Amino acid sequence: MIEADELTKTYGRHRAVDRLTFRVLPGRVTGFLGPNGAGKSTTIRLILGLDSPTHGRVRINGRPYRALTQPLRQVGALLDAHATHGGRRARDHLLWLAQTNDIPRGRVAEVLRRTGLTEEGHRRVGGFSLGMKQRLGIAAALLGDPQVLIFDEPVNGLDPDGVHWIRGLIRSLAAEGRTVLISSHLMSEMQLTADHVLILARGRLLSDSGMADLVRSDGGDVLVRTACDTPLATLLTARGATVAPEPAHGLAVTGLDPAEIAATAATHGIALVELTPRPPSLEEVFRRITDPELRYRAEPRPQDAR
Amino acid sequence: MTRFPTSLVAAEWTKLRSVRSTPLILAVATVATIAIAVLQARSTISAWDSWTARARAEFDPVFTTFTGFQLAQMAFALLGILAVTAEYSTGTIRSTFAAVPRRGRVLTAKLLVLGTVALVTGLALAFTAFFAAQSVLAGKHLDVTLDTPNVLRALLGQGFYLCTAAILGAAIGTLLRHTAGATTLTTGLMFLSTTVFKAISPDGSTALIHWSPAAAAEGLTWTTFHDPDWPPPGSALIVCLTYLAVGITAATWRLTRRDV
Repeated sequence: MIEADELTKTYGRHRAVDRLTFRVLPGRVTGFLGPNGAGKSTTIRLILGLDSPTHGRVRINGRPYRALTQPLRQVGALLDAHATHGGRRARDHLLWLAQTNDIPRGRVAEVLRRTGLTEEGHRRVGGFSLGMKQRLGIAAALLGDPQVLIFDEPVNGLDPDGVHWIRGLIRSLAAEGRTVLISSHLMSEMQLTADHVLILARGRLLSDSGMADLVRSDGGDVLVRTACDTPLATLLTARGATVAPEPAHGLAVTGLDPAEIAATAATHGIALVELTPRPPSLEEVFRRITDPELRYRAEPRPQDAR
Repeated sequence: MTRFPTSLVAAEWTKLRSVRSTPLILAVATVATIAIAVLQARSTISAWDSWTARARAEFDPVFTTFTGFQLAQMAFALLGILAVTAEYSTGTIRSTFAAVPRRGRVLTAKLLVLGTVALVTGLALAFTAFFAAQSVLAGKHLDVTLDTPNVLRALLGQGFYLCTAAILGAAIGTLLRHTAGATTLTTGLMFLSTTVFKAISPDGSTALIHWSPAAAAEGLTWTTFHDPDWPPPGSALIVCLTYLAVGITAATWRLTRRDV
């Protein structure tokens, strides 16, 4: 478990991270979402004890990172796939990391195998593709078989195969009961992998909720199709809904739930061809939360709804 | 710092031996010292008969054939610099400190490994270059042996000074975190400080000049001819140890108090 309390980091007058309080729990994938410069990487550096917080604290399994003995056995982190010496062979990179924490040498071959790099272990990292470097970074994170895993932008630069592979890996690590924190600005990816989402913008925590709740609670619409859309559109508008025509055929309805729409149609003898609730994509939710202008427009909506 | 973990020393050794710059730098130092020692010995014996009495008096069978060691000193300093700055430039330093949050220990292990490698190689180079040069000088019976006064001290001093250069390079690398900056400062300190100290010293005063690392190196490695600008061997040792102490203290302070 990762616990942050009032975590704050100031660089000069700039607050990179502003009073963050959150818990990252085991057994699920927690997504750390935010635009560039939101403070995700700073927070990760604070978690790993690379930077010292200006105020507040963050603990891993109840202890500050710097107090962990052999931290690689408790926390594995992928920070920047490029952060390896290009002249060093992949195997040697993992070997020195293992040696710092008294991790048995055999683990090097094991993590190379788990990340599909067995054939590349003897090669110098400088010749690696970004995808291979990413795999090597993940191999390094898995080296100490840690309970907590932190991946900063893990799908960056991966080809479709690699993305598929890492998605499976992240899910399986959480299924093994580990604490998994992944940061990303790729909403679509997060929607597929994360169970829980922390949304960060300008150093502040804007949202801390389950993926399902987040997508359900905020926005979305209902797609309605009938033989002839116009009469139903008039009726729904009269009941306070906002109705917009769909590009091809049909209506996008907000402000009424599917049951109310069905009831209205039934009362007036209109046959429904399709009635599909469409949850907002995480991307929309994210943009609404992080963009102050969009947020201003979006927030009154729940009160307006009914 | 109870029970210093040998695992960190093993890790630093793996780091040092697994990059190409290490064997490359050591190879350059080896070729430079031994080849130059042999070449200088050869040119000495071929020109000896035409040398003036003064030139013959200033000839030092060890020191004169050890010019290549200046190149080795620079190479060893670069070995130390790169051992630290390459971690910063590649970003490896974050992995290092995530793996070992006690940064002072990382520095200690790094300096131990670096110092040992530099000392062992430095001594090997000094003795090899010595025997190579003396075998050539024997052609004119100009050679000396390990029993000759000051010779053993000069060879040990050369090895020790190479070790000092490597550690000082690593300390300056830790302070500046940047290869080019650290190389400039280290080169300036090691090779230009004599000139600068001389320029700002009052006439005839050698007190400040003796604090130049290059003068200290010369003070450690002469055998027959001694320039008054060079400190006596004991003082030269103290000068080196002072630079090491200041460098290591500053590096530790910087490392433990600053974010990565």
